[in-house]
Amino acid sequence: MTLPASQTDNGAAPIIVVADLRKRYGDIQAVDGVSFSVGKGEVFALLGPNGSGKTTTVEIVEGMRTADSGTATVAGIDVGKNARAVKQIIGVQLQSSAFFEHLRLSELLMMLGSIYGIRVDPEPLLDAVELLDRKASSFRTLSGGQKQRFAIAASLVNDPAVIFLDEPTTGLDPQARRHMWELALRWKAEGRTVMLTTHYMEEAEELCDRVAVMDQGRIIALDSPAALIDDLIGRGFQRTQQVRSATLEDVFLDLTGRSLREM
Amino acid sequence: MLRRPEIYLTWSSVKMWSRDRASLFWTFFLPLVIMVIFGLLNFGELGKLDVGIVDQARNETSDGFIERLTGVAALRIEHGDAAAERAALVNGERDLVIILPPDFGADGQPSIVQSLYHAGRASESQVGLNILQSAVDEMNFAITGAPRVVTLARQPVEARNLGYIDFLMPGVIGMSIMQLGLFSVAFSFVTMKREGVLRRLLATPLNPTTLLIAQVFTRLLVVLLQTIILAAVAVFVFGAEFAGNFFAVLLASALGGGVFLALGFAVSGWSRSEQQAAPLANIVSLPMMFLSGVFFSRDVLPHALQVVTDYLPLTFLVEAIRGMTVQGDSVIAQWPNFLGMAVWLVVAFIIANRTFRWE
Repeated sequence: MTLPASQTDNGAAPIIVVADLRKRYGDIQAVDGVSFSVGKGEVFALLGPNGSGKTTTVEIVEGMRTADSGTATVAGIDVGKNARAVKQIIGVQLQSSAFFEHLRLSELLMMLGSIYGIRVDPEPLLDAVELLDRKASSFRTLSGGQKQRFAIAASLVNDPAVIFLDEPTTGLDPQARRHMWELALRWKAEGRTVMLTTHYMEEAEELCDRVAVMDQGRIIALDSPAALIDDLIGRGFQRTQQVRSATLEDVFLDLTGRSLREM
Repeated sequence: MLRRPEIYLTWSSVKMWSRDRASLFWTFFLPLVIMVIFGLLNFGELGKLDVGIVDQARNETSDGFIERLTGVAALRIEHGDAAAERAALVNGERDLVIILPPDFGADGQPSIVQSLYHAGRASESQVGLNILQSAVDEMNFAITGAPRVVTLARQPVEARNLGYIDFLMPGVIGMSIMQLGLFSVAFSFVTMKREGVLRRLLATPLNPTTLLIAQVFTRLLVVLLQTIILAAVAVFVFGAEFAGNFFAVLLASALGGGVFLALGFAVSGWSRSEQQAAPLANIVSLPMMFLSGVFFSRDVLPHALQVVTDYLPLTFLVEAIRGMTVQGDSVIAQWPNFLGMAVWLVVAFIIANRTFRWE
């Protein structure tokens, strides 16, 4: 039930257009003819089990890998032909980001700014991820959650039009996950486009305008979360356990509060 | 200007480097310790005596006398005219110069063998003089059956006092440059690869070459700083000679730094982890440390090994610096060593270009 590639949920002009992308690693066809497009200001997720090809797809769009065939454009720029121009306008958070040792957080952000050719004021960036009080620390001394948040600040250095998040909440505690969601929705409100991959379905449901489900290198479903759920129910699906009006996560957050930890 | 990525990245990596205690230790402290230890041990006492012979007689007796001296294992005999050998003595290339006068060995005539010795190397010269004296005595006895037809006249010459530290300083500078070039880049890039720093940077519009240039620039700055510090300690603490032009020595250091940085990139390109990079870098560096004339003269090596070690990159670097600091050579006078380094730079660059991978 793949929708036409040009159709986007909010009717906005597409900012990412991917057409018939293919990538092979040895015997494995990691990406096998993937097409989709993402509208400007949309939050879009690629879902799928490990090895389904979603990270490879995202990395091709980011200009970090080259496709064997097919095209990907971001804001009209062909990634295959001008990866650096694409990298200039996007922000990327990798599954595990690492930065130079022996540089302070503020210095790292200014150094990244120099790569984009811009002068960076590190303080607002660090403030947005609640790391302002650690600006003189080195990346190495941060806790896991703080590293993740710094990686977010680093991906915003160039004020990107499109933000790519690869499994942004894996390994985070519920407070940090909620914080990440707030940021993603704030970016959407600012008119940025967000493309993410995740294994958490409630995350996709909470954040995304549309999701694409991938398996074995292909997109097997693409629609809004609500439409996909309705479609499943329409086919007679019934949950074995009735959904309650609160989840265990709600209990956890009620007990431990919503403020960020590891400050 | 300061926001140009090349410059900003260089500045950043200088900052990183100066905050990295381990790299400071390996770059400055260890070479200094090595120089102090070897300087105090003064291994320069070992080795052969360089004896120059000026044969003005050119007769059977003088030939026999020279042959007699050539047979002494502790002596290395050079031949030349009086002016050249005297100059060599003054330059510290001879411990002893023997002048056989034109009347040497003429029938029954007493003749005076002049021996000029290095006043600053009294102990070495004394050994040479004693060997010479016994050769003279022996010959007298053979000629006449009576002593004292030939007399040995001893004359000290004020020569530049070259000690082991003068030999050691260029060696330690060269060795430090080799270690820095091979290890710092090899390790920092392998670490950056392993930790994913390189990957994160590849998600930015950074031109990979820019990062490379910044890393190389930083290391070359450190190489120059290292040369300055090691030379300063050798000269001001141990009284080493520094005959040549200081900037010419820095030029040699920078070129040598380039050679070993390129070799370091080749090593790190080939390795996937520190566990691979470390042994490989050691395989490259250890033989050179002992075969390129860092701590002792390559003269003690077997001839075949000398021929091979003539072409090692560290040999070129150490001998270029040594030629400058000891003999006061110019860059032009040292052109063969500079050419050797340039060839190695090209070779290493080609290898690095083929093996280096960003991911």
